[in-house]
Amino acid sequence: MTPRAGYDPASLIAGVIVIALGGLLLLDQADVLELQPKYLLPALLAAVGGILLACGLIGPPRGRE
Amino acid sequence: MVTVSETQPAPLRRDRAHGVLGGVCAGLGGRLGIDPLVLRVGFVVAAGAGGIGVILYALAWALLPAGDGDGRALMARAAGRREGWMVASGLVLLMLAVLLLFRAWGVWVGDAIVWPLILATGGGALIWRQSQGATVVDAPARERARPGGGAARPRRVLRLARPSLGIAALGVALVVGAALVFLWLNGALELDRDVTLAVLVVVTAMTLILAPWWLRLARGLTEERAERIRTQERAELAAHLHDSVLQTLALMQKRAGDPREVATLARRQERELRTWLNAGPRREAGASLAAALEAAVAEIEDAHGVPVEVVAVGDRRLDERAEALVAATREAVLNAVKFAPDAAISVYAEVSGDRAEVFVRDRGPGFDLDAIPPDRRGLRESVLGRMERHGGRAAVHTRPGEGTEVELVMSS
Repeated sequence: MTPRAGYDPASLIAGVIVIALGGLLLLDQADVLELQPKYLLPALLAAVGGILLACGLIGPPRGRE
Repeated sequence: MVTVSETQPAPLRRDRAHGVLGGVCAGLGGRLGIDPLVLRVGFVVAAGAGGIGVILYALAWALLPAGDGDGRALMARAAGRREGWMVASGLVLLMLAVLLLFRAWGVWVGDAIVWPLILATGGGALIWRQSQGATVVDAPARERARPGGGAARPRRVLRLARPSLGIAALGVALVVGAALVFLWLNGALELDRDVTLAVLVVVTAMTLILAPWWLRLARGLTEERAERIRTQERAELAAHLHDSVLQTLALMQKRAGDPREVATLARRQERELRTWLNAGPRREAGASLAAALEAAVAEIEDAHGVPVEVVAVGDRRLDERAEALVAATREAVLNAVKFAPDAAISVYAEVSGDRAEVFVRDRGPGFDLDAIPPDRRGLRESVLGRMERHGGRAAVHTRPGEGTEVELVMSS
């Protein structure tokens, strides 16, 4: 599929990470899995770190430069 | 391509060709002369002790450039981007997440050791990177290609790391912070809390008082160094123009009656000048000092029709300093040819170990050194100044009526 003008891979990756984190918390609330507090902080840090890394490495969206 | 000067030690790089993961151990082992296997075992053992080995390996991987890459580390490439802070923050947060996971799994040697060690490693890495300071490198091709950007040889320029001051200060703060955290977590600060607090307050106050002065001093030193480099570059430029263009113009005036000879001189000078402006003269592989001296003297003999005797004892590779010695010798011989054309002129060169000496003698009328007008740059800049700029020395022994001897000494 050809990317649209203004397509932003960094935003896509950030969105996927946030959805994954949200899904994890939802599953915890639904008692499908038990998310221990000691794993919550690393998960949050990894999510924020991953988003920052993606934005920093991939840079501005195509079509804006 | 920017290449590090020959006088600089080989840079520490990751060796991906011989590595297992990222080539960190292979690169470190190659540089330190240690079997990489020993380092790998050390990293694995450290990884089992609270994941420290993993963090250290990740830091080394991020900070060391790949040997077969573009010569820059991941962090350096990231810092060169507009979003460099994002990459750095992201990496730090990911490493923190990994550490907390190890802590949650119980693979941990204790907060009192791991956190100070991580802080100290980060700070030490920053200080180590910035302590490389200004690096002497060959000028990039695009700079040499600019008119006026060339020099008589591949130009060396000094790259000053401008943001290094702030980054080094951050490194120092991290190391000091690591020490304090270590002392605090081990209870060492509790016994002498009042004393520690007093020391901290005094240190903070002194830092606030001295920081502006220290910053001004550091900036002043940087500017002074940059100005000195610019002055040396200008002197090199002037010396080259004097030795080439001005000498050719003088020769053309002297031979104004022979249009063909004048045209030949003009063409030769044009070629030489274009080459110098574009990239500087190519140094032939395996070129030697003796051969370069003989070639320079032969060129003067051809141009001026004056015989010059050359004797060379010993030889050495033609490097940047040897080229400066040849250029100074050439100018001294030219002076002798101009001012003592009918006298016997000789060049005696002797190379012994790291020391090269050249004596240019003529039995001409000699001259009074103090009587040279200040606007005459030949002897002052192209011989004495050039030798001094390249770490050598020159002396002129002459008296009116007693001939002249120019002594040039260069040690590598």
